[in-house]
Amino acid sequence: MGRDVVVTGLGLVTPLGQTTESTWNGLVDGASGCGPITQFDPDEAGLRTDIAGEVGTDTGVINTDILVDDRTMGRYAQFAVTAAAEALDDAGFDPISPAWNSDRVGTSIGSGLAGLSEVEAAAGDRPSPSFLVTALTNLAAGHVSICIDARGPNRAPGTACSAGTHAIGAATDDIRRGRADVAVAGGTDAAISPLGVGSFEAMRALSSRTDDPEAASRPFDADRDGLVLAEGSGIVVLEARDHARERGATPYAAVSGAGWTGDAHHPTRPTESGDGLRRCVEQALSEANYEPTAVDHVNAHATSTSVGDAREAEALESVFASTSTPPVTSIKGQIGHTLGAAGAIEAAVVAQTISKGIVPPTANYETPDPDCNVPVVTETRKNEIDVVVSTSAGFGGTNGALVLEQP
Amino acid sequence: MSDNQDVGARVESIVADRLRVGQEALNDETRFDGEALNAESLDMVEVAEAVEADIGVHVPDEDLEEIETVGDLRSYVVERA
Repeated sequence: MGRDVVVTGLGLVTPLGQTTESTWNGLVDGASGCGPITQFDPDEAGLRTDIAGEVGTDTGVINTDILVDDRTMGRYAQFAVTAAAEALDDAGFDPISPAWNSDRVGTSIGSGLAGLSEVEAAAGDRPSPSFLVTALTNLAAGHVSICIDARGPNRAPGTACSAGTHAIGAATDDIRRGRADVAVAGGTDAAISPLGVGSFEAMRALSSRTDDPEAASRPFDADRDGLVLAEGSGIVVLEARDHARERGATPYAAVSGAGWTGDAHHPTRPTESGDGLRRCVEQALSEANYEPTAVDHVNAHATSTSVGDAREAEALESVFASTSTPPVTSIKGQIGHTLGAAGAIEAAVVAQTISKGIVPPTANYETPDPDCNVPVVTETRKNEIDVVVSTSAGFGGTNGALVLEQP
Repeated sequence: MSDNQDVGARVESIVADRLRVGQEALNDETRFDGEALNAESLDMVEVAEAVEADIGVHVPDEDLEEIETVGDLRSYVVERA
């Protein structure tokens, strides 16, 4: 199996705030990051949808002005650089200190739509020489590695809404196998643009509850009618346990398993009965050497779509058939769906859940849906949490799951 | 050709185009979920979006779910065009 991997730093840029602390406090206090779109005029763009989860203009923990260059970094990459700076600082690393062993630091940051809004803005004009580097999927990972001098494995999964989870799973393997001692891993997306919102609207994937943005994203609720598109980034610092111990770092959690499956079924629709996600969670638990009975909590992918949530609930029901499904939370009720960032933001939230013994709620869950037969957490609760499963699923039928546990 | 006939013909042409079948294979009784069209939900959304772009009639999800045949869609759109 190789070396144990622990999480020693967290960085978040979300619609609830541009730090881990503000995001976490927003989640446990029941705040909402969903509201009217301000980045463009939805009416002018001919869209019915005028709500989203936008990242605000408050500042992060670290002054990233010196790192963020908007001429060469797309918005998705700027989020990742900001979150990575916080995560590294949180882990107690300083990339300009002589102790920073840059060859042994990996970067693994996924994105679903990456520079979609940059492509949209550039279309029709002669591109600027820096256009491509503001748009390529791997440039969040690229820019972060340049900013922090990380010369180890460099990777950018483009697996839609599973990208963040896959990035963390793959970086965990880098450390287990000895390719790196430290990895800066996560996901990022920033697709609140006419094309980004319009694409999901055209598929009828978005909630039409536009008169009540805070109530629009309602995972597992019987009255859910689609997702709220959101933007942000989640970054975790992963580290070999012995490496963290030697430098006296206190881990939040350990990453003990990852699952990877494909549905091989349909471009957008999950397999009947959620079979692909079920196999994915089972694989992650098997890698972590846990029976389903060991799991205390599930941080679900549930995006508030009619079919997706029901299939995920079926997958969980079948994984936990031998026992009862542990309490399930989807933080998308408050944050919305951040696409490729979602799994990484959720992994960081799970690390906090384990470290603090606090489970955040699922916002807007009011009416149980017989098609979603899982115990949904509706109020913030405090209890000892040892083992958590976090799930992701993306277009193309790509699934990811992580098992995190007490370090 | 009256406006209604025109709109009706455009609906049929959109269905044929989006679902990649010959227009001669369609009549008012043709079911979207039947053998000829074999349309799933994303196909129906595709048809509805094309109707909105071309004819300017929005078919919301709850109404789209009730539309079973080409004739259902034609009369829905003609009534609202």
